[in-house]
Amino acid sequence: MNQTENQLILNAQKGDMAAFEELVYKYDRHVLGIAKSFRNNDDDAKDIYQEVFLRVFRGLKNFQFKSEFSTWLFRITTNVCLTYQSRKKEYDSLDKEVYMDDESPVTLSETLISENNSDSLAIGSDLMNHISSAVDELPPQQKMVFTLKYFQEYKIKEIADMMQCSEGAVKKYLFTATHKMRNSLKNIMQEKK
Amino acid sequence: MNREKFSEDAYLYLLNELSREDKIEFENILMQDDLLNREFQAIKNEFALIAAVKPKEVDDKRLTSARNALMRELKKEASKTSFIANMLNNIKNFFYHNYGLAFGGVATFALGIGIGYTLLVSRSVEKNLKPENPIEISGIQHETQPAEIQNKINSENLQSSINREPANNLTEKDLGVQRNLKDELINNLIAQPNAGVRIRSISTLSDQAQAGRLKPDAKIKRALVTAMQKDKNPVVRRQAMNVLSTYPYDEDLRDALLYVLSNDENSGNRVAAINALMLLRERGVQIDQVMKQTLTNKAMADKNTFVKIRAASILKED
Repeated sequence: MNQTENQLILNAQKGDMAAFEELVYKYDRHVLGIAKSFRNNDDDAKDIYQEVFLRVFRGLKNFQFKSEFSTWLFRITTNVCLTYQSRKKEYDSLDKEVYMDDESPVTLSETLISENNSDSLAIGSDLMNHISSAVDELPPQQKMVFTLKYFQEYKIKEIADMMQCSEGAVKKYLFTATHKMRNSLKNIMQEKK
Repeated sequence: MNREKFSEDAYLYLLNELSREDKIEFENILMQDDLLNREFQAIKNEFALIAAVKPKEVDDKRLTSARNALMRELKKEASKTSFIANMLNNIKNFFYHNYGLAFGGVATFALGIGIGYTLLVSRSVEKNLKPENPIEISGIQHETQPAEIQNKINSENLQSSINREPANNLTEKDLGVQRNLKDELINNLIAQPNAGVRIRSISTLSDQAQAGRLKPDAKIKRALVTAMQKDKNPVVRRQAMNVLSTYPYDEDLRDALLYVLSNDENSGNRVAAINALMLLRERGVQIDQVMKQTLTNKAMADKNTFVKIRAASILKED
């Protein structure tokens, strides 16, 4: 944490809105990115983004520089994401039911690409949807770790700091999530064959 | 290397989480084992598929939109906060400015008086309501009768009139007032049905004597002895004994104390009596035969252990 950031935080703690805005602009792309990769929905990501910074605004006076500001901010971000996930669960299950009742459900075979060339990333959008759905199916903690690692490319240590757990726990979530994702992918590939 | 461990190492390798040494070791394993190498390639392909669904970078348009919405919410939040902060500041300023300070001082002073008054009054009431033995209700009922009230008022008036004049400047009129007061107090002590009035009469007699306004003559002494021996209320008896004990020693005082020691059912009064005798002995009063007889009886048979021990102790020391 450099001196400028410390000063910005101190000023923001005293009620300087310009200083707070500067802090927001410094980190908000990362926050929105995490929210977007976790929820895979622009509106949800925007809600999470707003909720995170409102919490930061309310809690900034209590920030005592015991950790990096970014660590504190991303910790709030992961918490809001997980809370949001549980809040939205009900709505998500409702959405799923609506999807299943659709007149033209999409079958796995229809989603498979005609060419099995993953290197070219020429994957059909349906396959991508299925993979995204498989990510969404993961339990919240595993999903959080999975998205932070695979999509946001944070180091395991950083993820552990954000989620306030040990690196071992993060690895466990990560391995379990990866196994599940691989199994999902295998199923898709088998359907293709 | 088991399959699970291999998979985990492969994940960490592909996620760039292995140290340099671990990476080299892992690559060596891959080169030495075709089966594991094929497995690794499969994992790598799956990772590539997963990477394909990685969300796009946040675009500026969405970020700007999110920022604008956030700033609107922050302004609302700040105005809420500033309203509360203003209110708190106003309260703070009120107490820190001159008039606020004055108001605070007055309020604190008033509060202090209130608390003090409550504590003192409650203690006084508690004290009055909890004598060693309860005051007789019948007495209180009598006290409310007009004639009795008049008596009490007269007594207080007399007392206050004496308080206004020093003892050495007494006129004939004052002496007459004194006599009236003495008679009134003795009358109250002997005849008043209310124990509180009787106790107050004894206190007034004592106070007036101490102040030199009233000479403790034989009449007062007799009244006190009578009260000490015969009064129904133990507190009155004790009060009379306390006052009488301050008078010069004579046989009347001795007999009265021995009477209480022998006959008073209240052990507290017997303890007070034996303490008074002890005090007399310390002042140089000889323990005569009559006293010895009573003390011997008490040392042998009193119900109260303290009285027994104290009686034996006086006899032993004599």
